[in-house]
This record gives sequence, structure tokens and C-alpha cells, in this order.
Amino acid sequence: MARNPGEISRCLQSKFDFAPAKNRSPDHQWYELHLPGLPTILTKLSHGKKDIGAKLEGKIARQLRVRTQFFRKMIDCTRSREDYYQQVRTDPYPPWEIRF
Amino acid sequence: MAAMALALDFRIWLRSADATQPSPVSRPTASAFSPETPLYPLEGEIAEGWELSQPLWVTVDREEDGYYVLSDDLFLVYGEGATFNDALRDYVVSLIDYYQLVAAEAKRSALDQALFGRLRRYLRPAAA
Repeated sequence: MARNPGEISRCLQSKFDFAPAKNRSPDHQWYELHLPGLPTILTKLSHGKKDIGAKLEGKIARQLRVRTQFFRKMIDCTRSREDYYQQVRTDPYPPWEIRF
Repeated sequence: MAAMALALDFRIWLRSADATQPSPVSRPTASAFSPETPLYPLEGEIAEGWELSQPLWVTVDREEDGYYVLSDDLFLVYGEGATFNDALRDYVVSLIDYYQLVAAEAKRSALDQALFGRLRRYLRPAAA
């Protein structure tokens, strides 16, 4: 099921509390999420109206630190904000590289 | 950012088939892209005022409609476009965007500071 950047943007902001980041490129919009004890999660969406294909979906999911299937469920509203926060803490994908 | 000149004649070269030997291929320009080799090292001056001090490997994917998606596995930055050059340009702009965002976050978080340190081992503003 193809999705457009606007749909994903609205979902990330309204449901998962991502906020627009202050990037400077006019072609993209970055979104950020701050969770205690984790580095800032940053993801990018382009301003174009082109629907997002499977490869792009995978790249966005990676930026959100979840697998593509989980990301799809986030956008389909079958994964809650708490589910996502729990997921990036307990089983981030790819794993956080930074060790403290 | 919109006015920044992107130097598309930066160095991308085909990965050597034998990783233990230096590549015998001289450094082609971005127009020498070969679809058989989906992973490329990006280095040097990637945009006016920005340089990679060590190679950053970029994966090249294609959507079903042929759309290009370039990405790296270290910082998870991606670029997209109808052509390879468009996607590469988009990737470079995105990488610089990412640098500036992480730099800002590094001022208030030790966790982001560590990420920024790692990023700076690759990308930094070019020396004046």
C-alpha cells in the first residue's frame, strides 16, 4: 500500500509526538523525537507529492529504529505511541551503536 | 542551502572485485556509475564548504518504478531522485542537514554529543 509523505508526517506528529526540526533545506522536512536516555531520533521526509515506495519505506523505518513491518503498523494505527517507545528502547533496529 | 553548489565531480569509484588489492580502476566521475555495483565509497569535497575526511559507503537501491534511493548504514541518511545524480545530490544535502541538526542537539545531550563526534570523524566543514 503506497503512502504519501503527508500521511506519514501527520501520523508521526499527531500520534508519536515527533516535532518538525529546524533544518535548512527547502526540499526536506526533518522530524525529531527526544526520549529520555536515548539519542535524538531524526527522520526525514521530502516535500514532494510522490508516494513512498518500499525501499524508501525501509529507509524511513531504519531512521525510526524499527523494522519496516513495525513502521507500517505505526502508520496503520495498529501500534501505539507506547508500543513504539517501548520498541526503540528494548529492540531498536538497527541497534543503537553508542554504548555508555 | 538552496544556493549551495554541489560538486558532482567528486570521487566515486567502483569497488574492486578483490578487496585485498588496490583498485586498478582510476577514479571515474559520478557519470561512470555501474548498476552492477550497488555500494560506493563517497569521499572528499562533497559540496562547497563540506568534505568527507574518510570514505562513507553509500548503498544504491531502486524502487520498482526505477526511482533511485541512496543511503548509508552508519548514519542512516538517505537521498532519493529520478536519476542517480538527483538522488546523490539529495543524499549530500540530507547528510549536511543531518550534520547541522545533530550539531545542535549535541549542545544539550551527551548522547547526541557522542553521535556528533562519530559524525565528525567523517563529515566536517572544509578548512577555509
